[in-house]
Amino acid sequence: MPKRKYLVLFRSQPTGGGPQPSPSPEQMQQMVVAYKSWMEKFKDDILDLGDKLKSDGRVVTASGVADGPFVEAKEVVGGFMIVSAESYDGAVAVVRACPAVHAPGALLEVRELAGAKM
Amino acid sequence: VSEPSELHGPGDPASPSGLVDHYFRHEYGRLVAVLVRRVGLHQLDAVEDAVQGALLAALTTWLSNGIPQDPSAWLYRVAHNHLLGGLRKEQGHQRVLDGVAARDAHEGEEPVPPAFAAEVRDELLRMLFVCCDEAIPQESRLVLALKTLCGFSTGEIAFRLFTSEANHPRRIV
Repeated sequence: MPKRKYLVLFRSQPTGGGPQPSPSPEQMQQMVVAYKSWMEKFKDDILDLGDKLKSDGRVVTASGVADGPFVEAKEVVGGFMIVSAESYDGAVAVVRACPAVHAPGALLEVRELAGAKM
Repeated sequence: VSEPSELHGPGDPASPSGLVDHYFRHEYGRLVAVLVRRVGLHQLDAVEDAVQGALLAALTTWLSNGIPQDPSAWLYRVAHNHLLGGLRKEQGHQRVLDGVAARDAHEGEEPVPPAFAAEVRDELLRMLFVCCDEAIPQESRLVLALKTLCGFSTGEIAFRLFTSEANHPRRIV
């Protein structure tokens, strides 16, 4: 079965409890360990680890350019990555194992790229 | 409090991540002690913010680019830059900044990480004495030492001491 490419968007929903406290040094090291073992386990499936997105941006329409993303948006896209898998099931397995799933308010959207069979 | 000899580099067989256990927590205490010595105890809040910022930067940068050859030197450099950047923003601290900048000018462009294990031990010991100052209420001394020297968050300390997080001092001066 040919592998397909999937775009993963890291969205976050407002958690309500105000800003999250910064992780402690011990928690940060645990995050490094968790991500490293996840990256090692799925190194053949993670095509591009992607990046975090900075919080400011521009929104372009035919009528002009505005500063964005829209502040009233309930969800904010905070990052992206690209994984390869034979099906949605395979892509979802990679994403569900990602430590980012457990971040407060995290919501990861998985979308197959239409023209990119490998 | 960690001995500098524990600060192994990447590829340490002791850990699959290449970092020995509690590396971030031990680095926190070491960096706070060294940087407080550099800019003064009255800048403790700024120092702690800078060190926290450096560890957060390491979290993202090391995952995408790999752990650098000398992670301790990397952390020191980033924390030092965060600290000077933070102090620069504060109007009232211009005098301190001038003093540090003048010293840096003598030492060359790059901040010089502490070279000797004994030097680091001295900084940690000095910081421990600060935490034990009799002017600080007794229960606060323990919290302060656990926070600044051992790198525990106030949440983690509160969990262990069964007290409210709100009771812990943010500042000692």
